[in-house]
Amino acid sequence: MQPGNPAKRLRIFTAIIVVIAVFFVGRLFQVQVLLAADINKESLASRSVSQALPALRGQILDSTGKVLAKSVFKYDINVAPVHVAPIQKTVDGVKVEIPVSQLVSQIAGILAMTPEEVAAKIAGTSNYANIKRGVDSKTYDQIKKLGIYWLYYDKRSSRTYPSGAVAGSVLGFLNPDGEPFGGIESQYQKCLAGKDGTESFEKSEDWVKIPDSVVTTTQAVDGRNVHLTINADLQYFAQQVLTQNVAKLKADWATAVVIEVKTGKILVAAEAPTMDPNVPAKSDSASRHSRVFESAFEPGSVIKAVTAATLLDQSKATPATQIVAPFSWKIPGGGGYVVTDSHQHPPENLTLTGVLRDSSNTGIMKLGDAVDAKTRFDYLVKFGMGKKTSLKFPGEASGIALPYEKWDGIKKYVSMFGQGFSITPLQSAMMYQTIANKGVSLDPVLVEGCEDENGNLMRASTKDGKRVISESSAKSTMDMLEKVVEQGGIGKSAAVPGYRVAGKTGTAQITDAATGEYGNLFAISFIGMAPAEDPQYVVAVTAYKSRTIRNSFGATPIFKAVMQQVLRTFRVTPSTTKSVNIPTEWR
Amino acid sequence: MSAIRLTAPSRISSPAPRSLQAVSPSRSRGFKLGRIVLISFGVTQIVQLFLGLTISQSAYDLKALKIEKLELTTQAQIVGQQVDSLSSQQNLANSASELGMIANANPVFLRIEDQKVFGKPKAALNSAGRVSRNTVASAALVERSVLTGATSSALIGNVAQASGLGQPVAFSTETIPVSPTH
Repeated sequence: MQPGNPAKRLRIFTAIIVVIAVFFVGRLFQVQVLLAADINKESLASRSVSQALPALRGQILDSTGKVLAKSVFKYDINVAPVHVAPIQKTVDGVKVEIPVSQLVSQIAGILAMTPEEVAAKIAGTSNYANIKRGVDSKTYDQIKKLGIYWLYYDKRSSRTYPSGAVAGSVLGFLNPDGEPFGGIESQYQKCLAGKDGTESFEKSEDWVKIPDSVVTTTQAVDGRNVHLTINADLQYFAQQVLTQNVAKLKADWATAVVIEVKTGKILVAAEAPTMDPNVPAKSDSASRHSRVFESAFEPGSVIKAVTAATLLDQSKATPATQIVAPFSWKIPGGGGYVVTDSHQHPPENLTLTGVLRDSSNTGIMKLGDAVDAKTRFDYLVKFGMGKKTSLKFPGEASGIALPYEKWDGIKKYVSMFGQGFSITPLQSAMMYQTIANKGVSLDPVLVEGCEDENGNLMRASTKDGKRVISESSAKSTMDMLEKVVEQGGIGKSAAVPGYRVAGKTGTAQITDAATGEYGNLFAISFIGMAPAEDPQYVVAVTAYKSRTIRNSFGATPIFKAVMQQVLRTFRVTPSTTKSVNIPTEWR
Repeated sequence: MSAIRLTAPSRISSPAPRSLQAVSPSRSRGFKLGRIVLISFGVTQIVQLFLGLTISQSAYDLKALKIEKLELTTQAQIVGQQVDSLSSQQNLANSASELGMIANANPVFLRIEDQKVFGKPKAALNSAGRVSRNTVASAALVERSVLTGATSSALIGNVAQASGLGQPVAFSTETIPVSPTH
């Protein structure tokens, strides 16, 4: 017989097992059934990761495909001050401890900061502090190689302009928040801007994406590229020449615009001083805007070409029409207002061609009087005065032009030589484009087009040209302007060896803002076209408030250098014909 | 854990001998089928385990590749910035100025169709045409060309020996500096 009661022990044991089993089954039921939804949700929340897929902004390219603006990644160097401590490194097989002070010196040296600045940033007990924002890849790589575990890095998309200030004021820039400011960056935001995507997946504790986990992805859509008509090399050359001459002339600023006559394309829109869009804050406010498009001023004698063209088109004069041009002339109905020529001279027997050659104010007024004010005003408007171009460049100025009904007795006459209204450097260049293009005005073109999603260039639509003056009037005007360069006292300095060049000087008075009267500083200009027998390019140069040379002698060397470079760049064959023989004086 | 006997041990008297019976073929097939199912199940589980391990390992490989891609992207960007700087107009102008290069102010054109030459060739000896140093700012310039070899004065000196067109120009016997970008 066995001791105890085995059957009873068995029953008790069985009951215990059953209770435990029931407990487990109950708990299983609770977890797997009753709380399943909540637990799944909580688990998913801790496993799920949603991250943005940054899209790259489109590039801005010049006419040859050279990149003027592109997106790169820059890095913010951050620190967790609470974790700052010496680090262990193995040097030549020996474990050494590198103290924080040494690490601070190394970081400071790479980031171009002082050790004290870095030390101040890493002090404290917080989990986050920023040491430096927006460092480039090379600097980031150098910092990472230090192997400092308490440094963290945030990557962000940033804009870089590899050519620096070349066409800087045309390109515009992005502010630290990535918003465009001015120029093409702003105007073509819709084309350039990409669309960030998102990606959601489940991660393990060590941040590895769990295979077969649910992945929701909205693809990032990169921005599209914009192609400009600007030639970056020519633009650079022009900016070099302008920078040197602004210093020599002690001028406030200077611009050079190059237009392709038969297409209206803007090949150069240069100015000095200008902005490096990589560091826009280093430039003054005025240089962050494009003076070529935005600065309007009284153009002066360059407008005499338009007045002459008007006379020819209205059949009120020919290139050989004769006039006696005095040194000074009292404007009829001008309340005694007297206009003089730029230099003292006895009355001269000039033709219309001679008036342009010598840039005689009295001569152009006496001849221009043959056309009524309204007609002259209408021609100036058709040439582009008083209205913005079709470019719609951000901040573009229309210039100031009073309707002819509001012209007083003085403005009716002084408008013939470019006083009483204001235009931008671009507007003046396009006036000469019209003359050079056989009298047909084209819209200026700055952007060739924007690429589509497949990288194909979608060219911007262009309108047909508008005839402003007859072809024969344009030809005759060109012939007269060629004499300015052939024979003019100042115009000769604009001659380009080997080529027939036509052009006009301009020395425009500038109103003193304080007094409202004309001051003693001038906007000196030269606008020319070459080759005169079949004009391909217009180059328009202005130096504003030139102080060392106060006439167009300061502008013609700039014109000559730029026009020579343009003709050389595009391999324009030198002229083989001679100019037309037109009398400039009479007996 | 030893098995628990749930039944009380019975006093067993020697059991009555049971007659031997042959196992029926159907029962034999049943056992075989059961073994096949069990083995198949086991194999499937092992294969699934193996696949799961492979996929998990691939996830880690993918992570490592992504890290490598980030590193390479950074390196590509560094190299790209260097190329941009070295090929920039600013660097080229500075290099040309340092080398004492003189711009040719008198280009002569050759029309290939009829081999006509436009203009009169003239040696570019005018030092006024010397290429200017760069004056156009660029904060993106992170690298500059390092010019070694022939100095600018040596180059100018040798070219100045030319006395006119048609006479051979004595070039420097020193090697022309190799472009750092090759």
